[in-house]
Amino acid sequence: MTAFVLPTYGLWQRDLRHFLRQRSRVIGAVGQPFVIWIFLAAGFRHSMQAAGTEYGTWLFPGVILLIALFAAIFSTISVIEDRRSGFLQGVLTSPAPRTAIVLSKMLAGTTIALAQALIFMVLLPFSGVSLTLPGFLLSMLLLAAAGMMLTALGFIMAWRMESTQGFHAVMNLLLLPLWMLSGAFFPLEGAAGWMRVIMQLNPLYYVTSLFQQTFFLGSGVEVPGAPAQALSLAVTAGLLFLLTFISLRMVEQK
Amino acid sequence: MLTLTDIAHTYTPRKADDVQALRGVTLSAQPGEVTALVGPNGSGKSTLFRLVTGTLALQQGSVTMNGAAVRASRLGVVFQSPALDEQLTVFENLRTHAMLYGMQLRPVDLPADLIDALGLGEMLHSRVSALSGGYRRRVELAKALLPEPDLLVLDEPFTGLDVTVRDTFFRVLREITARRGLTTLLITHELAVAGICDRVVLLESGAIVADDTPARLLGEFGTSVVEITTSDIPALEAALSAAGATALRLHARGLLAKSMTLKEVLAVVDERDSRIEDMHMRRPTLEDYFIARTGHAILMHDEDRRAA
Repeated sequence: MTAFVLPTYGLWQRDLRHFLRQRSRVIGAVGQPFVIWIFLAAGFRHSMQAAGTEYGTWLFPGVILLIALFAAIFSTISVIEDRRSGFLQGVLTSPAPRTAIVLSKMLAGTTIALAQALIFMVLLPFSGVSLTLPGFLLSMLLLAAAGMMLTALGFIMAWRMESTQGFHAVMNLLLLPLWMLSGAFFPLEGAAGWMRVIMQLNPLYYVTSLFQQTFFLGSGVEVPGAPAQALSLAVTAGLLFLLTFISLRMVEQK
Repeated sequence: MLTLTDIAHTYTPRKADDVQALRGVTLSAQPGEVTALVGPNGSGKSTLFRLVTGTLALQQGSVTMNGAAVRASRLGVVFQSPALDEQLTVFENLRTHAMLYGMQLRPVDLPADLIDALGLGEMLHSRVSALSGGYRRRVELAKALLPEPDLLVLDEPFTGLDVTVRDTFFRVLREITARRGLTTLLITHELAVAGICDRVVLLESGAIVADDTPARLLGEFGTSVVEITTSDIPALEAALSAAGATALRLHARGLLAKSMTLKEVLAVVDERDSRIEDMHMRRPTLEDYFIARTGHAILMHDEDRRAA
C-alpha cells in the first residue's frame, strides 16, 4: 500500500508546489474564468437569455466546467515538460508503480480545478444562482469526476507527444469544441437540428447536463431537454473509467 | 555483482532497416568497484543503459544482480540529462524521490555522511534552479544513493562539467562505491576518468572489444609512447614500422609510436627529413588502446573533424 500511496502523494504534492510557484500561471488560471464569465454575462445581459433564464446564470456552471478543462490541459502539459526536463525518467526507473504517475496527475489536475472553482464562486452572489448545500456538494463531486476524466484525456494525448505547442494546439482543437458543444455555452434546446445531433453525440454533454442539474438544484433554474440523469450518470462514470483505463494501460507499456 | 549475459538488441524502425544495437554482450561488474563502460556514439552504450535500468524491454539475454533480476528498489540511476525539478528545493527533490521508493523523508532523516561527502549541507533549502551544474550533479548523485541501492548506474554524468568539478564528483563517487560496497556502472566518454576506474569495458558496434583493468589494457604500450603531429603520415608510418616501432594513426595528422624512445623516433625522423609540427612523449591512454583495437578513435579528433 505504502509503495503505491507514497509515490502518488509525493508526485501530487510536487505538482501542486510546481503550480503554486509559477505566479503567472496561478494568476492566469484564477483570472481567466473571472474574465470569461464577467465579460460574457455582462455582454449578453440584455440581448440574450438561455433556457428562460439570464445568460450569466446559465453560463456560470459551464465556466466552472471550463475551469476543470483548463486545469486538465495545464496539468497534463507538465507530462511533456517532465519528459523534456528529464524528471520523468527518474520516476520511470524508480520502483513506483506507473499507475502512480497517472493517478497523481489526475488528482493534481482535479485539486487545482476544485480550488479554482471555489475561488471563482466568490462571484456566486452576482450569478443569480441560489446554490443549496446538496447542490454544492453534489456538483463538487461531479466536478471532481470531470476533472479526473479530462486530466486522463489530457494525459493520453500528452504521453506520446514531444512538443508542448503541439499539445496546446491539439487540446484546444479537441477540448474547446467539446466544451462549446456540451451545453455549457448554450442550451441544446435552442440549437439547430444538426447541431443538436452533434451535441448529443458529445459525451461531455451528458457530464455538463448532470453538472448543471445538480448545480441548479433547488434554485428554480431548469435545464430543458436534459437527458435522463441515469443516462448522464452512466456516461460520466463510463467515460471516467474508460479514460483512466486507457491512460493506465499506456503508461504500463515500455 | 551485476551480470549481463548474451545481451542482444535490435531496433526496428518503421521506415528504415533494422539496427542491431547490441550483439551478444556479456560482462560483469563487481561490488565495491567502479566499472566504466566506454564506446563511441552508436556503440550501444545507451541501449545497454536502458536495458540495465529497465526502461527498455529485454529481447535476448539476461541482466541480473547477485543472480536475480535487477529490482528497481535496489537500483540508483544518474541520467545524462538532469532529472531534477528546478522549481523545487534540493530537499524537496530528495523527498519526492524518496517517496517514489516508499520512504518518508524529513531533513533529520538525511544520511549525514552522504550529504557531507557531496557538500550539500548548505544547499538543502536552495531551489535547484539557483545551483551550478556541478552541484546539480551532486544532487543527482544524492538522489540516486538515497534509497541505498546495491547497483548504481550513471549515464555520462560528467557532461557539461569542468575538469575540477568532474574530478571531485568522481572522487566522491569512488569513495562511496568502496565504502558502501556498491556495484557502480559508469557509462562515459571521458577516457581520462575511465582510465582511473577499477575496470574498463570497451564497446564498439554493439560488441565488447575489451574488458579488463586499465593497467592491464595499457600494459602492451609500455610506460610511455611518442605522439607525433605531421603532414607526412604515410611515409613516416612506414619508416617507423621499418625501424621496429609499432606506428598507430591517431587522427588525420597524428601518429603514435610505441616500443621506441623519443631519441629513436627522432633518429627515424632525421633520416627521412620529415616535416614535424610537434613531437612529445606521454603516457599511453585508453584512446590509444581503442584505436589500436578498432582503427578509429572514440571521440572524433579536431583534425579529423576538419578533414571531414
